[in-house]
Amino acid sequence: MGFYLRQRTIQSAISLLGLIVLVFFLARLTGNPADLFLPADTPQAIRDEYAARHGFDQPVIVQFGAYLMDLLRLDFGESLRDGTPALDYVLAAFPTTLLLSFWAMTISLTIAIVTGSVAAWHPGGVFDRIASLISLTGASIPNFWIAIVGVLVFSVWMRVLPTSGTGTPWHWILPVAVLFIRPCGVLVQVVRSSMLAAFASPYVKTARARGVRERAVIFVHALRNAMLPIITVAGDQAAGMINGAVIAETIFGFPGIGKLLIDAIMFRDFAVIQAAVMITAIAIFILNIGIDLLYSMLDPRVRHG
Amino acid sequence: MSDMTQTAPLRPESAVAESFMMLWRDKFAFVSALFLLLVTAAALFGPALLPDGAMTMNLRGRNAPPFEWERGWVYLLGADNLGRAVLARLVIASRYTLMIAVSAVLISLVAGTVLGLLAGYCRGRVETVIVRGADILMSFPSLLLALIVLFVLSPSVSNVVIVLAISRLAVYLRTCRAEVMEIRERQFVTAARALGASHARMIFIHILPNVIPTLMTLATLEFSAVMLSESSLSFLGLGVQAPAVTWGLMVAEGRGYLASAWWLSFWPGVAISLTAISANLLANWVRTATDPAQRWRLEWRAK
Amino acid sequence: MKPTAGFHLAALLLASVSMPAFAQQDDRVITIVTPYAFDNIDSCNSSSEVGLIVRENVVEALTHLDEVTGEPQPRLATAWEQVEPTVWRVTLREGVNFTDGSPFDAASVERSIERMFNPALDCLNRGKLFANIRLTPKIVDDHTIDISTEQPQPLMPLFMSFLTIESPKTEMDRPTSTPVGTGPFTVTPRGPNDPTVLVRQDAYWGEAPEVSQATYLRRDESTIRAAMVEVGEADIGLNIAIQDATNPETDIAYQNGETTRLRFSFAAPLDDIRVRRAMNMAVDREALRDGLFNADYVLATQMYLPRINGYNPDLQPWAYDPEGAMKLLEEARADGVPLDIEIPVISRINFYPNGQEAMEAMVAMWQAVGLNVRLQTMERAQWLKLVNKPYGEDRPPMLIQEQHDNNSGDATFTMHFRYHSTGQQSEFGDPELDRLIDAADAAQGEERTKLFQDANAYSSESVVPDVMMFHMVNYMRISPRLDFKPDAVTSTMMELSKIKFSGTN
Repeated sequence: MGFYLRQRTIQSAISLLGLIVLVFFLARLTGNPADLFLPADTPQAIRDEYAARHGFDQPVIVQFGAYLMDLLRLDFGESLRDGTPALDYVLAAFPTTLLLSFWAMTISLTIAIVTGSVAAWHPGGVFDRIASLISLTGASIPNFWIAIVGVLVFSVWMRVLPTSGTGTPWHWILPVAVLFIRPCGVLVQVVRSSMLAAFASPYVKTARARGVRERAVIFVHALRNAMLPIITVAGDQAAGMINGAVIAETIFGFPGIGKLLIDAIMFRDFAVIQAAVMITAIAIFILNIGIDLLYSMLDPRVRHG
Repeated sequence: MSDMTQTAPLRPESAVAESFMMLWRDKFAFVSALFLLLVTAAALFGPALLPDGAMTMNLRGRNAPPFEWERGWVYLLGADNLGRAVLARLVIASRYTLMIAVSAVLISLVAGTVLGLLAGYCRGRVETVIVRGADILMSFPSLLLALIVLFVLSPSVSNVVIVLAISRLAVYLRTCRAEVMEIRERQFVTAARALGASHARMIFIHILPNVIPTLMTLATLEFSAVMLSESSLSFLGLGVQAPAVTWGLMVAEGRGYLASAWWLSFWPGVAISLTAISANLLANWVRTATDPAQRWRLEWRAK
Repeated sequence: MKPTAGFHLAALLLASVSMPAFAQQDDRVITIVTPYAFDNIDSCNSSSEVGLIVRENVVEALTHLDEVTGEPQPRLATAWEQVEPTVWRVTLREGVNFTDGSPFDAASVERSIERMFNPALDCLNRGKLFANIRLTPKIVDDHTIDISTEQPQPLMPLFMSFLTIESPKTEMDRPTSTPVGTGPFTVTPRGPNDPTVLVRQDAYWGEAPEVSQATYLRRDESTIRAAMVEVGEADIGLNIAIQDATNPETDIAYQNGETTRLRFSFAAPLDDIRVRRAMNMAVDREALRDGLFNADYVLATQMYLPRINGYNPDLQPWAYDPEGAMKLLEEARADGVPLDIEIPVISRINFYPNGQEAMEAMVAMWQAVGLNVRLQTMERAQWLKLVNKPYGEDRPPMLIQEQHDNNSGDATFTMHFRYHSTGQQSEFGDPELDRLIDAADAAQGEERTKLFQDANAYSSESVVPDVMMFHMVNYMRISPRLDFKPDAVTSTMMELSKIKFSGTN
């Protein structure tokens, strides 16, 4: 296991390096930050001065070399917008997004496992049909639409939830709801189909034949067998949370990493883009390693190589 | 149950009839199929069938509410913020929407499958490179990708296809590779290998056919994911740009009117949802119909 | 997994306790919700939306422009006088202190000017207002300072309204997130991503404002901003979209100083004035205004508002005349003007509310008179590359969506930049127009006004360099508990001391 972890860490570090190279060079294809930071009517001389002050007049490869050297000292550079270290921005925003994603994933997984299992118990039954329709609908509504309608209904019309912002647990309800609906819809489908397969497996049939109680059959024997695909898809959904977080954080004014990233992208605040992508990527790599470890716990046949 | 899987070979026309009967058996799938046919027809022929003037802007009739019969049937779903009929816009938008979703799914499906097959079958260095590449793709923010493509290429609908295809590619790649790795170790494959089957034969005869059902299921699920991502990109201003129009763009543009003219973003939202749901329900039906253990649920003479 | 869940639960609880409670019971505390990020509220950026927070609330300027007349009024300067053509002597207010205790004197003014011209500092004001005017301060005594320029500068009292003075303890080379000035409010230190909070200071030299604390929140969606004021989570919502401004009791329109137009590039067929005229005649501006905007929008004849020196009140907006437009185009076609060339209409993503719709509508209007136009939408950085010189070779014919704000009080900012052959965003060179603008720049008083007016008249009659659209309007939603009216300068400066509470007069 120690060997495996070490190897995965090395592989992840290589991927991370590739990612940095890609983000660094591709982001610089999208225009000069001097044009965006300075007003449209700024004279060229002042634009050039700005570019020189921030090193954008250097060849990109030189800029990259300097960036890597700084990175070795864990210096992620400074935000172009106000000179704050980029890492400070990212670290201040990261916990918000992590918490949002954590709650969204926990709730989706819980709902999906219960609903999907019960639906698979009587495939084609009334519950299965209704659960399928609701989960499919949930999985196919644009999340920003849910967010705005949510505010109009629950905050403006019913006045039971705050419109936006952070502060109390109440503030988290709408953003988490916006984030969990789609993964939940997808996961219900996945749980249902893998449970169907699991019920048909010899393993579960044997358990039934041995007279194990039905509830135990569902939640212990079948679920354990069905867990692998569920974890795979849940992992993908969790890794994709950042995209949903951009929307939820933008609308609800949540100071998270999704909002930070989209703002940095729009302003070509390269240091912040790079820091945000890197911290997110590290989180995703850790998540993937965790998922692999879960695999081997659930299924001893999965070998690490 | 075993006798049911041994159905006699059917003549082609009766196979079609049989499929139709099986579809008829599952009412949800039947309605879904009808709806998808309708959407496809709308995309192909709809724009030609629209009455003259349905797409003309009419600033004095902007945000006309839905269900007012006297304005004519194209205004049944109301008019948008430029006074254009929402129904007509939906029909026009269906063409781009389907084109984008289908081509993005196809491109990422094909590219992801090929790379996944290579990684799972060749192992070794090829696999390492591909898997590391997939890791990078997975963590590369699709928003940044969208901006880069939007900025570097001249604006066109194909930009969005490129962004969506690249950002969803890794999902197919990983799934395909996992499946291949599992199938490789099955007895019939190891046996074929021992008998000296060529690589091509191994891949195309033994491995690919076993991988495809999973990937097809994934592709239908991704179909709705792609439509929604496209809409999210529009929300952030990085998606399809006017004058091109998609359902996703209509939802995004209409969101500012949710409190005053809900129909601007409601109908295109309904169109996305219904299409996605139909694709999924139909996919469920196909999975059931092609699974020998499940097929009896759809057959007339089952009992 | 259990400890992780517990940790997150604890973190959530902690987060809910440690967040600032916005709904404080002090009824003099207000919340303002805007679409702006306010990343960098250094006073050197006060000519942008940052001015909403810092100008006159935190840092004060030497003069203050009257909201109605546009005339400079005393603020930190009590008197000013042009002692030589290139030197202005400014008398400073006595007995004023910065909120960090440093005294306000000539040395602090000198330092503020030098900080603004410090090339090591990113400073929007330097590029936006003082790009071509170098100010040189010279201390006369503790409360008198001479400000000199290379050229005679008749507009100095106006420029002085942008000269915000910050504490001498402000770092020279780095922007600060907690600017310190002489204003009635201080900025509370904040972490990255936190909202900006201003707190009233007791030692202010002038009249104490009623507002004791103001929090500036950011929400990107207009629907949310409007909802926040409606349910009482915020007191003022800025930039409310037209379709959300549905309640005449709370939703107030005000001109935001912006003017919109489409600029022609002078390539065939747009190098022919008949085509440019025809394109102006083909636009039904009133239908656009009533359909997409609102009666509060004003049809523009020139790029700045009537209160700006040099505005020509005699110009009339183009009348909607599609037949006349088609006739002109026919004439041009008969003379061999290549009208078949496709003309892109360049619009910018998320430019101003309903901007995209307006572009779509105008494209439709031009297509209706038989022009070969096509809408092309660009991202901000792409658009910026296109609008600024140096232009690429073979600049194609196109119309470019633009918006311009001149909140300075004088036409020169606009005229030189857009209509002079050397201007950075000018598409043409007309010797007569150049002559008028140069003469106006050198003139003063009524002669200056007259020359700029002539330049405007000449440009709109004999050059037709653009399709003028509207003087733009913003909507603000104001809670009934406040007594506040936005005015002409609110879009760049929102003095909290002008905000009163209803029923407390």
